Amino acid sequence: MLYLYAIINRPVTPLPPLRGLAEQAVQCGERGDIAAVYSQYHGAAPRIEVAQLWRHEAVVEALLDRHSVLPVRYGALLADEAALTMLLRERYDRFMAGLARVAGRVEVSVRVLWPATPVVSAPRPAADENGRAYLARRMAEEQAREARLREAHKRADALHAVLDHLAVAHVRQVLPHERVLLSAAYLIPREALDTFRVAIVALGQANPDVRLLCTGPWPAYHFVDGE
Amino acid sequence: MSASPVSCHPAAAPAHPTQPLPAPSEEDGLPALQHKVLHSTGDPTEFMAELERTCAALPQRINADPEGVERGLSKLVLTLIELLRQLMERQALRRIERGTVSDDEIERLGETFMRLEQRMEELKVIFGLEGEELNLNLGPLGNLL
Amino acid sequence: MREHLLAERDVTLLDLLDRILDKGVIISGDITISVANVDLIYLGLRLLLTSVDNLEAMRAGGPTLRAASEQPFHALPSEVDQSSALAQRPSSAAQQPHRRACADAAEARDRS
Repeated sequence: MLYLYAIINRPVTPLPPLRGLAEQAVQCGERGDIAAVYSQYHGAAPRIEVAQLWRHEAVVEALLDRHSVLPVRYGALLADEAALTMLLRERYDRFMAGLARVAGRVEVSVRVLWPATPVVSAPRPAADENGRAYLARRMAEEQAREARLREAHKRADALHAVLDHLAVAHVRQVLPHERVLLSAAYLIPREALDTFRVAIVALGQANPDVRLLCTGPWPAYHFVDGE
Repeated sequence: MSASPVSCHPAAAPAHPTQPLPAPSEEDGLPALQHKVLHSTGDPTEFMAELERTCAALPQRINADPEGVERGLSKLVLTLIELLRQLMERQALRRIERGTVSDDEIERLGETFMRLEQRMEELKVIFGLEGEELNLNLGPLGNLL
Repeated sequence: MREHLLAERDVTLLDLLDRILDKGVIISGDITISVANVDLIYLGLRLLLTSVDNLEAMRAGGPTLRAASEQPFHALPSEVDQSSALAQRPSSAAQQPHRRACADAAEARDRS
């Protein structure tokens, strides 16, 4: 079996010597202008273990310096070299387009916690609550939820607007959980990293009531074609 | 849909604060992966709970052990029931807002949804599931509920 | 200070998990993915969700049934970030056959 790390544009120089999962040497299967980075793998599908996850990530990041990289989701196995060849042949155009999209760019993660008090359910109703009262209570909860969602969108849009013009693409979720106002990933030119950091710091100062967490640079996990 | 072998559940290794992070060493020809936090206001630990929840919603493997399978399947089934219950309830509320249901129907609808909710609570206790667990991360579509 | 660094590392790890397990190139079909079981359910639920929502949209439409069925995907769940084209693209392919099915269903209802 082959364990797959990433699809990259074809290396002009040989890959640096890397050790991937299970200490196997990282190899490269080429086709045209692209290449798949993999290592030999034996046994059952890799378990989700911290050391293994870091190893996968480290291999992907080691490629970032000299290549455009489409990171592959953790745990992807191919049967053999023939399957790899077929994969590169069938998805060639999509991989090429994907590589063009991420070339020279990195992903940055932004999460924002807000202090707004979550919608609390109305106090547990009396045991003899009737159907009508139940629905009235649910109606009030529903309206509060919608109002909160509108408020969250307004707030998140304002924060997002500041960062969006620095990015070439983004993926975001508003209020994915009660306390998370915004969870977003931005695809930015690598050289814009410092500018982005400055913008985040300024955003934090201008919005002292929210908590910001910005991590990166990451390989463009959020910006590859889903399939 | 049960817990994966190692994930970010509190009992498992990754999220545990005392667990050193075994990042690959330079000997493997791999860069050390440490400095990813570009900026954070306040204490990064504030994000831990939220991030753990994010990870808990990640695709997880169905465990091979029978107990895990049972729990995973009951979670999936209850999630779907909860989805349908909430959809129906919201639909009912919308109809009431529009005034297309009679007084008598409102009473009966309310009675039914109230009992459904109570029954869901009981089932959650029986299967040892928390409210937030009955949700699925649908990737680009956000959360199911 | 040491604790602060530990926290930073844990936060980083969780951010990594979020990406590496959930995003990136998915190559199902040609290969085995360790979470393949759930990927199937994932896709199935996405279809179910769309169809339930369409049903709602059609019902809500009442007399304007046809109009609702012509653009059934305006009724995506509120959590979806409508402004993000990238976020939506992966699911559009899965929705196509569905769109047709829903339109058919609406037509059948119209006729009856």
